[in-house]
Amino acid sequence: MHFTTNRRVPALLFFPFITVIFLFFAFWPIEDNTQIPKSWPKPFHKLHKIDSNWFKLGRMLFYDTRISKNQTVSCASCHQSATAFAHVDHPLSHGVYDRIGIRNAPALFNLAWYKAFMWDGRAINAKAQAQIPIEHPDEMDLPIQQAVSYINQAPVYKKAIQQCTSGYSLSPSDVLHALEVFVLNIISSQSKYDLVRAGKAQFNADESAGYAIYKTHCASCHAEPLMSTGDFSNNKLPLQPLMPDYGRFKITLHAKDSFIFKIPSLRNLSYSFPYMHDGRFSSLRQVLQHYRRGPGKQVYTAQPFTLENENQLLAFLFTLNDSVFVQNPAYKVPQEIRNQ
Amino acid sequence: MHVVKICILIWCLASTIFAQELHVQLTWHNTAIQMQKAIKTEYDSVVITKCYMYLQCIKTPNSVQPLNFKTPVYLLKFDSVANIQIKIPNVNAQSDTLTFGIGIDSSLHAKGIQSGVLDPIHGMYWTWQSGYINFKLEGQIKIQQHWQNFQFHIGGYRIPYNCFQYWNCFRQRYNLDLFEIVNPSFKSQQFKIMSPGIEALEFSKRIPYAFHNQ
Repeated sequence: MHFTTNRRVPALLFFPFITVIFLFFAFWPIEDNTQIPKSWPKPFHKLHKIDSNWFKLGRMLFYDTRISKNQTVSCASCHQSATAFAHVDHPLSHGVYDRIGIRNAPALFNLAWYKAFMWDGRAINAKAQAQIPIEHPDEMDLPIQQAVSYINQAPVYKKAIQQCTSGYSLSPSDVLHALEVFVLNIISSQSKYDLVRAGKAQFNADESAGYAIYKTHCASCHAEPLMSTGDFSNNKLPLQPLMPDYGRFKITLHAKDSFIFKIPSLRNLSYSFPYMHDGRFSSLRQVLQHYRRGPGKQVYTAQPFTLENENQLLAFLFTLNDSVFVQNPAYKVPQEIRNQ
Repeated sequence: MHVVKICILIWCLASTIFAQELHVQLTWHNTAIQMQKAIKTEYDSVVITKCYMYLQCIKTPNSVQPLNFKTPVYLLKFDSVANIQIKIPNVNAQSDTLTFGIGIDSSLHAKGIQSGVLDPIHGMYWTWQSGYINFKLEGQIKIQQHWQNFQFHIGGYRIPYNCFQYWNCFRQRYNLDLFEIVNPSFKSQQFKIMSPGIEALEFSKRIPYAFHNQ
């Protein structure tokens, strides 16, 4: 009897403490580092767990066509999870009423590590990045207030809205936050390259040779481990006469920003063709050819680049494909939206 | 058990050995097309940069059930060459024909994203709402001294705009005359169709009639 009493007292004392700890971890938005290699830098943006309520809501919104003018286009129309959230085989993406934009839809992954978004960096935060395509006339062409109204009227969102806000409707800021949370938490970090960095796999001879070529000629712009510095650069593409695009100049109006575009990541290239801001190159060999024999001032200034070197570089680039990422069910269309 | 395995092996070998080939050549006004190159005819000039289509082997007219082929869906990708040969099952009956579906039928759509030729990596998948693109044609045509881009992405599997069409294949060598398919669209100043709808449906109906014996 004496021993039993002694055991109960400490347990009761610890109960409030354990409860507080439980509540802290249950409701505090902590980072979900399970997919992020330890060697990666800290992201610029906060990461949420992929089972958080905001992530779930953002995922529903990402796949919902309600947020377009004629209710036929969703974010996923141009950013498909099976192709690294790019619009594969489409140089320029489609919008409502078969309108065509002026740029290639970029692949979406690892955006939490970037300060600016879109090809010309016009979106300086992830909420703006979510809002621009919704309101752009060549994309979804719907004022954000109208989009929010459609969402709030849809019964399928009732539960998700309550879970996120404890209320019955979303504000425009809520909708953009949900999309921001979903998009920023799309992470690709399980390619062969990542396994090699983690010491869990090895490059073969061609991949190793390609890695050396990459480090010499590509890494200054496409820096490891994200395979992009996130900066902007002019890669000397000739201007398309029928579709002149002056890049970042249109945003900053600084002459030095003419023909400057965001440096894309080299990850998942096999899923995200065609390449460049206007999708002009349908194959990686065309891209390499451009860098080898670019017009005007050559971008690629190294010693002669043989076919063998090219094949080795391609072999390395293919190690950056993340098949786990493109098949990740956490990023696919949610059942609530699919079953409507 | 071994007997079953041997039978399956023999069946697979036999279906490979005795498979026929279907040849499809793209043409424009009955002139053979060279992809990515300008073709001048007495009527116009055109460049075809891309022509992709799904063919789904449905059945022979004499059979009620769909044929249980190992690979019932073919993706014909004309991007560097304008003629393609595909192995098709040998129905081995003179009076028999194969019926192809041009596109992906709604039952296959219901299974969602798939692998192989149905992998979205081929650029023939819109979204889960719109499904697969059945037929994709891109290029430029010269009209009044100006080159005009055209893009036709034809698909849609839901009633009333189901663009899945049937084509009865009697021979092994066919020309597919793209002019016959796109000319009515050009006449109505339509140079792009990129979503399911009435325009896509009307366009899709012209595709089976553009196949001609060589």
